[in-house]
Amino acid sequence: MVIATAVWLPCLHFVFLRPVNGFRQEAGISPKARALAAEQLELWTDPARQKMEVGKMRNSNPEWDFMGRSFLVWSLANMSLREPASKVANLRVMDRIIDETLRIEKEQGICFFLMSYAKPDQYVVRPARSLFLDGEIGLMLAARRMVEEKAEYKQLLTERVDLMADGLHNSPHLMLESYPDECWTFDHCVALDAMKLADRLDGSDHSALIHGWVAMAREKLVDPKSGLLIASFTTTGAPLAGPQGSTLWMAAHSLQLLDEDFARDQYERARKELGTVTLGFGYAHEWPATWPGPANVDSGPIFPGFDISAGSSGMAFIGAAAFGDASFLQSLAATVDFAGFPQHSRGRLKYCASNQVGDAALLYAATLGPLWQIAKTGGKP
Amino acid sequence: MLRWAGGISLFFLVAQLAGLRAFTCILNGTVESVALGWQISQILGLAYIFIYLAFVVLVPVLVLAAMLLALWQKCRRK
Repeated sequence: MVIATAVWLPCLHFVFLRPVNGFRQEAGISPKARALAAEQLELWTDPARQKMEVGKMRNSNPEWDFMGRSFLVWSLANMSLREPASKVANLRVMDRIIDETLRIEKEQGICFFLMSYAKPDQYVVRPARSLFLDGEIGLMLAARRMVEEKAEYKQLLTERVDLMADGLHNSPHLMLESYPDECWTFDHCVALDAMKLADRLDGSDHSALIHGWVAMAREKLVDPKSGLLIASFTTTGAPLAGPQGSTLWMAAHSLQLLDEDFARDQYERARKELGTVTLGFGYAHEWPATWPGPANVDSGPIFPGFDISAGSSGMAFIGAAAFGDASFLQSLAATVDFAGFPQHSRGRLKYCASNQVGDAALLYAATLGPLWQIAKTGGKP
Repeated sequence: MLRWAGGISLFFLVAQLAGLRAFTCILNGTVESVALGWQISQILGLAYIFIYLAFVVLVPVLVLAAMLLALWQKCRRK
């Protein structure tokens, strides 16, 4: 039995290892991305199923409802740019998601998509706004317009970007809240991405603000021990949570639009501090050894022994895809096929151990690229 | 050992056909069936994970061990 175990365990990953282009292709849409997208689109065209899936997520965390929308819109934008024939169908769903999200935000207020400790009267800056919502909605609007112009979204994007830019200008430390006196690096990076795309679309210029924020982040938001960006901080820059995998991989990808060198440096450090491959299976830790922390709603369950964080491992797909780390991406894909419990049905794919937001993040990892490429090179949207 | 491997494989087949895979969503803190409730969903999800791991990890080990044992006994007889 001992010999058989010693033989089988190192071979197990070969059962799940597939060529990386099955998950993500440089051009076109990979088979897995197509199947994941089919499931996500089905959810958004079947109100009963959508209500059920969203309801399940909202019971755990209302943020997931919101982020599931963001990741799906950003994915569909990239898919439309990769495969123009899919544009019409994708835009229909993107518009539905954006319109519904804006309607809910208007009717229910910012707290609908935030966790229960978001109390508007406890924000330092009032009236309360959440950069988490403003940044992601801004990036949804911009991504949609990068695929095809929509006049009514132009004004909405400008208003959203102006609110964020004014907020940052008026903040003594260039830090805006997502929750009361709680600011997130992830949210700032996404918000600045939205500004960058708005500049590309509308000819505005937020470059000084973007450079200023990145310089501030390099100086004040980097953990000196690991060199990684911390996850959250107060409005005066006091750290709240250290470098956190579930946000850092996406932050590094977001930084690619803002400062390519800094982005790559963050990815390489995260890969070294958080990314691991054991017996051919890739996964990620939530916290670096230099700044340990507890399991929380972002990390998802942390499996003891190997210190595997479900949240960080899922978001690591985005980092590996964004920085062309094919071997890590392939090993992560082997893990999710082993332990994510994929379920295929009529050309659709969902991971049972995941949820809508988790699958949407995987879809984003499988499709990201064209949107950033156009924004960086100045090509025609 | 082969009997154990066969038994586990059968259990896995039953769990798979019964649709228990969907209950592994307990890993992300949600429940597959509101009607069944959190506790039952948790039991079904954990049962599936346990049987699945036994199928992909233990069954090949048992089969390999049986093969190695057979090979060893054959060599000894010679």
